[in-house]
Amino acid sequence: MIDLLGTTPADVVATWVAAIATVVVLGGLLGERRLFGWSQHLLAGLVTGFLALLAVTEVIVPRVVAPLVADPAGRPELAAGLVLVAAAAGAPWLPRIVAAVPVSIGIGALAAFALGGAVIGTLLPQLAATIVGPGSSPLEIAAAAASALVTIVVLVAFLRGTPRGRALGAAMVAGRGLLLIGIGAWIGVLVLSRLVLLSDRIGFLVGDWLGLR
Amino acid sequence: MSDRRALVLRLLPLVFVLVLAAAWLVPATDALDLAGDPAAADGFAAALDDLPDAPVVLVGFDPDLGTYAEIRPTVRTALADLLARNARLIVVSLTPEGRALALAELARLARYEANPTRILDLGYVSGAEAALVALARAPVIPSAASGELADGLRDEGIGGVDAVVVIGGNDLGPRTWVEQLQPRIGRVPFLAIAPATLLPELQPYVGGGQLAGLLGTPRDGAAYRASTSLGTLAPIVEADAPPALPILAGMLVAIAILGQAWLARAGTTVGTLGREGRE
Amino acid sequence: MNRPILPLLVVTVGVLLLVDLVVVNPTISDIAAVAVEAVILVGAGAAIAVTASLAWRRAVDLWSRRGDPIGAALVLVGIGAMLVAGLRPGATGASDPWVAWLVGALLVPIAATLFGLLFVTTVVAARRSVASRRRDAFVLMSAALVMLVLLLPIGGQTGGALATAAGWVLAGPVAAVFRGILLGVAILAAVAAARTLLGVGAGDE
Repeated sequence: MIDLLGTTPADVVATWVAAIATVVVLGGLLGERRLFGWSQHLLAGLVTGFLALLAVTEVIVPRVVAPLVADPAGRPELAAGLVLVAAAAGAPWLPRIVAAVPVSIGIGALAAFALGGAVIGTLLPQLAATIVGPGSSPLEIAAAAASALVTIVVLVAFLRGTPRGRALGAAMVAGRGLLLIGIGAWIGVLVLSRLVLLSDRIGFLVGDWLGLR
Repeated sequence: MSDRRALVLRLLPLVFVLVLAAAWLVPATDALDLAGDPAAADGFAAALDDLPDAPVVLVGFDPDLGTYAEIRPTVRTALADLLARNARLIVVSLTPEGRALALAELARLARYEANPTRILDLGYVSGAEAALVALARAPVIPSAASGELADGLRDEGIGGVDAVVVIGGNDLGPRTWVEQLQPRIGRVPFLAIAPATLLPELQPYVGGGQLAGLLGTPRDGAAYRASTSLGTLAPIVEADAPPALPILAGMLVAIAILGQAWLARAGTTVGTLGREGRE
Repeated sequence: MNRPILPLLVVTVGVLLLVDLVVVNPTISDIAAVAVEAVILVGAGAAIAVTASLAWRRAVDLWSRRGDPIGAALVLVGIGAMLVAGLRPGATGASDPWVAWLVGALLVPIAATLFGLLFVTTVVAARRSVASRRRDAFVLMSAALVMLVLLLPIGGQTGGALATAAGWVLAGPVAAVFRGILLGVAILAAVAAARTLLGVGAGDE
């Protein structure tokens, strides 16, 4: 059913290991904490190890090491890239002035992408989307106006600050109420979503492992 | 609390799990239907219908390990749907978890003998948003990659892509793709399949036209799966559709638990208001 | 001692990338491409730093018998297993069958089951919040209950009506609320990013 593994003997063993891991984690529901905690430690190690594996085999080697080995003198910028990788990799242990260079590059880029993306990728298009185009029916205009009103009062409530004036105060109260209703509806969808996840694991045990389905 | 009550409370989750397991074994019935309102599914399918013949589709594969099960059947159906439409897929991941799942799904497609010339794996790119900017500028294609798809990408770059489908779940999800890639590559339709955790940040993009299609809840995914016709590629999708009975059982339990607390709270509020009124 | 070069690096990289986004200029584009590639390499280096740092801390914990020794050992086993599987002679990196085995047998089941437990914890937490007698929680959970009823996977005409109502709620009023939230988050993110680039506050070193 889940079918992430094949049918070789190794995959059959993997299915059994996966079933045991699933039962161990489900044991957390019954209050079994020790095995549950150990499974989380193992997960942390595997994920972190995979992260390093990807960084080496799919980024550093193909983008820097392999081209540098193929043509050591021809591309000096690759040597600089290798130094940058080393500085970032050794950041926890290197002198602060050295470690701060890759960190500063990262922070500057992160800020630029966040600012550009937020304004050009979200704010401007979403504000444009609240404007109703020509040729819309009265119902569409009314719906768009109502939607825009809801959006505005929620935005007022979302952004912090002491309300000044009765109108702004009323908008904040209305916005807060609508915010709670919207998030509440989303929580309802989340409960369904989490149930699907739990059901899927039960289905794995019943179908893929025990073969009852 | 007595020992017996404590034991009962402790075993209740096990009973619930056993009920779900039993529900999995009950044959499907028409009285239950996991598919919801078809609007989102129809919109997603319509966006795919609008693509040219044999489209080149960039698939951003970055689901989360924990929530992937929610969208897994829908993702597999979407991949099969694209391949059934003669699409050529370029797969890339920006997160380690996404890459792990992408590799698993690509291996699964290979087991089902999907045509390897129609799938190009660009691997994993670090750097978060910078990876998307680099993708827009000049995607790095593995040196060993050959064939029409790889050559086309080398010649035209991202400009030769007809659509972008983002499989979300992680921090770097469809919203990041919309914010960073969409402004840079012009009018290419973006579609997304994501778990419900991302619904608040993705739903507005549908209304704003930035996402041509979104399957953002389990029921939207079920509606889409029910509506597709995959022909010879039907075996690629999950053989067993997730059944509705365990979901119904779980939701009734949730409604009972929350409803009981809600009624008690509402009763207290009404009682308080009544006393205040009498005073 | 003040080191103005580092904040200057933050601002230079940031402004360069912003200008590249809004201005079409081949020279700026080429320089920005170098900066983007640098960020990608920094990301890869940071991944190694995270792994090495975690492994070092757990090894020190194990050596000095601090905390949970088995937990610490399992972290190291996990890191080691993944690296050996992918980097051993003849391995094919992340796509190697040994790595795929670890992903399918351990990584996915543990993570997926952990998130499956969230159903129980979410329902229990929701019940507690309703019982807490806070008005906000009552409003929140009332909306959640209504949504749960609308999402019941029932077939037939009743189910169809519920599904249509759920679809309308999510695509209409709730979507408008979500847009307000998204705009608010985008504004806050833009302000925080601008403050970083302008060196306002404590984030400049």
